[in-house]
Amino acid sequence: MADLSHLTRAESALLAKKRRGRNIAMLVALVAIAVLFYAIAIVKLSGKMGLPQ
Amino acid sequence: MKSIAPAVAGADRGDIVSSLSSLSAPTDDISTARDWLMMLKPRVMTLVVYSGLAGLLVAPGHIHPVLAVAAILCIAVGAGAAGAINMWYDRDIDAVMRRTQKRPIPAGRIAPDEALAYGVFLAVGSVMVMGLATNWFAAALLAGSIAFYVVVYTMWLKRRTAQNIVIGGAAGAFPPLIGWAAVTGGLDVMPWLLFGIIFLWTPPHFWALSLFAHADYEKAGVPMLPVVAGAKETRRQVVIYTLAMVPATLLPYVLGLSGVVYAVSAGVLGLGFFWHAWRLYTDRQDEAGVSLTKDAPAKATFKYSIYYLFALFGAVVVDWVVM
Repeated sequence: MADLSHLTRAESALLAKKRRGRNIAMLVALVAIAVLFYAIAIVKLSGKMGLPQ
Repeated sequence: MKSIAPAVAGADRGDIVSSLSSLSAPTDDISTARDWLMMLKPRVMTLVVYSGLAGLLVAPGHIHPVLAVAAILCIAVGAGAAGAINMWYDRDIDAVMRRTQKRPIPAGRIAPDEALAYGVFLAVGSVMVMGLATNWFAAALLAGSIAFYVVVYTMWLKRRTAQNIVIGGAAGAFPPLIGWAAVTGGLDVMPWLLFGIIFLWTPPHFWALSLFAHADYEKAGVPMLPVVAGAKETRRQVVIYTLAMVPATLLPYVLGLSGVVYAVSAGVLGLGFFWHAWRLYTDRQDEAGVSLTKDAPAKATFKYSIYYLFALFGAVVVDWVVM
C-alpha cells in the first residue's frame, strides 16, 4: 500500500470517510450474521424440543 | 503450469498491480465497502440466487422460512466467494482487459492476499452454515460448485481451451440442485433438468458476449471461441446450442413435472431466443466474419439471454404456484 504520511487535509478527510464506510459495513455484516445464527439456533432447537416451528 | 497471457508475459502480477496503483491519487488505493462487495460479483450472484431460489421453492417438502433464507444466503455468499477467488487468480488478465481493469485488485485497492483470504473465508463459512442450517448433502453440493468454478473453470479450463465455458458452465448450473437439496436432502429428475437448462444456456450466453468482447480476450490470451475459431464459427455454435437448449427447456412439461403455464412460457421464450440467435447468425459480416453492424445482434442476444433465464425460472415458480 502507498505511503499515507503526507496526505493533505482533504485527502485525510476522504481517507477517514472511506474507512468509516468500511467499518459501518463490517458492523452491519456482523450484526446480520449474529441475528442469522441466533434465528437458525432457535429454529433448530424448537424443532428438537417439539415446539411449533 | 499455467500459461501467461501474451500481453503480460514476463511481467510479475505484483508489478502490474503496483504500476497501475502508482498512477492513482494517494487515497485511491484504499478500498471501500463497495470494493469488497464488488469482489463478490453481485450481478452474477443475482442469477445464482434466483435459480437457487427456484430449485428451493419447487422442491417437494417443507423447510422453515428462516432456514430457507439461510440456504439462499449461503448459495449467494458461496457464489460470491468463488467470484472473489476467481478475481484473485485472474488478476493478471483482469489488469489487461478493459472490461475488468477497474476491478479492485488490478486497480490496486485490494491486495491479492487479502482477496484470497476473503474468498476462502467466505467459501468455508458459507459451506459450514449451509451444513448446519439445512443438511450436509446441500453443503457438499455448494462446496462442489465453488471448487468446480475455482479449480476446473478458473484454474484449469479458462486459459487452456475454447471449451472453457461449455464445461465450466456447469459451475453456474449448480444452484437449483443446491436449493432442491436444501429442502429434500437429495436430488431428483426436476433439479437435474434445471441444471441441464442452465448448462446449455451458458455457451450461447457467453459466446454472444465474447463476440463483441473478443478483442479483450485476445489481448489477455484467453482462448474464447471467437479468438480461437473465429466469429463465423462462434455464430454457428450459438445457433447449435440454442437448438439443443430450447427442446431441453420443454422436458419438464414432457415428463409431467410442470404444467401448461411453464410449457407455453418456455416455448415462447425459446422462440425469442432462437430468433435472436438466427439474427446473430445472419448478421452482416465481411469474409472473415467480422460484424459490419458493430455486433448489434450479439449484444441483443446477450441481453436477451439474461432476461430469458430470469423469465424461464420465473415461469418454473409461477407454474409450481398454479399447479
